[in-house]
Order: sequence, then C-alpha cells, then structure tokens
Amino acid sequence: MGKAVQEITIAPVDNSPSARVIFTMGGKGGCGKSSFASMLTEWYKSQGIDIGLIDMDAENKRQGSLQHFFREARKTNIQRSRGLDDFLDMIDRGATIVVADQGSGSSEVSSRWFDSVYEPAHEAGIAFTAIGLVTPDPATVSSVLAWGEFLQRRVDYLIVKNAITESADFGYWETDREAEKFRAAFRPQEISMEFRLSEIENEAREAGLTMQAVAERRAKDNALLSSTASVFRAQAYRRNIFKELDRVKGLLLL
Amino acid sequence: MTDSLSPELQALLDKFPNAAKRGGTSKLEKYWPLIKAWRKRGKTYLEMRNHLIEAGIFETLSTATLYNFLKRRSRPRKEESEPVTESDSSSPDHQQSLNLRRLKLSEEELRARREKARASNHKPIFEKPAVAEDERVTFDIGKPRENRNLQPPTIKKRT
Repeated sequence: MGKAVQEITIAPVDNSPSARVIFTMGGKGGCGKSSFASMLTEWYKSQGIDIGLIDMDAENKRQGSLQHFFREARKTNIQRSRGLDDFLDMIDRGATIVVADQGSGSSEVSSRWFDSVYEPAHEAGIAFTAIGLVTPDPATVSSVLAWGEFLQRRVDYLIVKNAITESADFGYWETDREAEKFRAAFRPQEISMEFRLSEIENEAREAGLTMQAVAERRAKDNALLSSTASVFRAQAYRRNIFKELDRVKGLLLL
Repeated sequence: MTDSLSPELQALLDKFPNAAKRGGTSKLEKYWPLIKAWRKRGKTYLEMRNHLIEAGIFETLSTATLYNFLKRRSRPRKEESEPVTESDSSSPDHQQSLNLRRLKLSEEELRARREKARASNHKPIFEKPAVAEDERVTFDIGKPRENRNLQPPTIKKRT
C-alpha cells in the first residue's frame, strides 16, 4: 500500500467548469432564437456578468440579429475557416461565458466544428449549453431532435417554449413520443417565453431596441414604444423571462 | 429473548453503548471527486494511478487499491444503518409461522400459495431506465410529429 506523502496539491476537485459556451441550436427560422438570445444577454447584464457575444446568423443582415441589438456582438462567418474558433478566442481573452446565436441552417458547419473541438474543450473544463426553441410548429421539435441526435450527452440542454400566439399549444413537444424519448435521455430543463405582442416586438426589432430598452423608457423617439402601455408590457415580459432564467441559472452560469 | 441486566451491567452498557466503527477511511477518500471525474472521462485505473503518483500524492499505489476503492465507494451509501430487530420466538407471529410449517395444506391451498410466490417472483424490482446512460440516442426524425392534445374538430349542427 502506498503512503500518502503530500496533502492535496493538485485537485481539491472543483467540478464547476472554467467557462461555458451557450448556443442556440440553429435549424428552423423564425422560432425566436435571436429574441431569446437578446433576452438572455439582458439577463446576464442585469446580473452584472460580462459575457462574450457571437452573432452567427449570416442571414439576419440587420434587423433582429444579435449584433443589431448589441453592437459589441461579434459577427462570425461560420463558412470562413476558423470562423467558429471565435468561441475559443473569446475564452482565451478572458470571457468565462460566451453566448452565440446561430442562424437557421447552420447545423452542418457547426456540427463539424463541434465534433472537432469538443474533446479538447471538455478536457479544458469548458461546458456547453444548447438552447432549443420550440413553438407550436412541429418542425421546431424535429429540429431539436436532430440536434440532440448529433450532440448527444455532450451538452446541457435548455428548451425554451416560445409562445408565438396567445394560447400556444406545445403538444408536439409535450406529447410526441420521440420528444418524450429526448426528455428521458437528456433531461433538459424547460422554461417558457410568454406571448409578446407582435406590434411591440416588431417595432422594437426595427428600431434595434431590446425589451429591456423599452422597459427602461429608452425609446423616447418612438411613439408606440414610449407609450406607457408598451413600457408596462415590456417590463412584464422582462420580469417573467428573468424569473424563468433565474430558475435554470445552473445551466447558464459556471 | 433478552436477559435482564443487573444495574452494574446496565451502567456499563450505558457507558459503552455502541461498538467502535470498524475499518478506517481510505487514503483515497479525499480524492474521490477527482477519481470519479476521471472515470467519467474514461481514464483507466492504470492512468489514474500514474497521475496520482506523478502528482506526488502517493509514492506507490496499486491499481487494485483504486479498483477496490471505486467499487466500494460507488455503492449507494446509507445515512444510517437499519436498527436490528430482535426476533422474539415467543411472539404470536413466530408461533403461527411454526405452526404453518407443520400444517398439512390441501392441494388447492398449496397451488394458490405457489401461484402467489411465482407472481411475487416475477414482479419487476427496478424500473428499467428508458435509455441507458452510455447508449447513443437516435430519433425517428422523418416520422410526422404527433400532438396528442389535438382533438378532432367538432362540427356544430345548424338548428
């Protein structure tokens, strides 16, 4: 039997990751990926946490893209060789949390990249959270399943049920047998994003303003967005989504 | 059946009620989270042993020690051991079970008892997990998604 010659010098083991990359699973367009990514960014800001932001949505030229809301977001062309290494460059420069908004149809390139960097990144203590947006549209569920089949248990999963109508039915996500299998295998955490009035959301997107900006009455030049009704609604949206994000912060922080 | 203790013996029993816990803590105990994390990442016992020696934590360490520690430590731990109940042979239950052994049962009673025993043998003890942890999960993505919340639309009859 060996004799202990030294007290712990290497690993008083800390299982928490050294950095976390949070990315929206690309796929179906218009399911609210960028809207959620901007809400999530606002949540981090409200917590006083500095994050790295990557906008991978090549198709979103201006309105609605993450860079449109946040100037500091780095636009990444995933088709460029090393384009996706921006994630790791940001971590190298000291970001502990990186949020990336993937565009629809980016699956093939991102999956190739993920395959190549996952092992060393995992060894270096970088954790990944994949965010899947589901709506009443069954295609969004299929998209999450396709990503799950590729990512397997290499990431933590957060599913956001985005109510795009006032009485949204998530039956395709909640009752489909393959989706049930997904939940049993990957145990994702789920949150809800409540229905938002499209007039307010579209107007804010057009003006490059987040819900936070509307809630804080920063849309002074815009009659619709500066109205008390819009401000109150934006405050309610923000309060509710922040409450949901607080519930799953284990997947969003280190 | 318990014999009653004299006051002197009772006093001694009160003074030293429980046996000292046997078996010390393993020297690997404080490295358990590290060893567990390594195993999850697929490290072999030999690799873990070499890492621990290279890091200067142990001079020597056998893979068997690591293996035995992991095997023992991975078992679910009980918070407290169940209190041992002493069987009381004078209890009516015990007497009844003894009588039953001597009892001659009819064919039907015997059959019923056998059926009952078989049925209890075939009860699943553990629920099988839906998907094993190390299994690759695949989905039938091409299949149309189903929504069991949807009800067929009802047509209102005009009156």
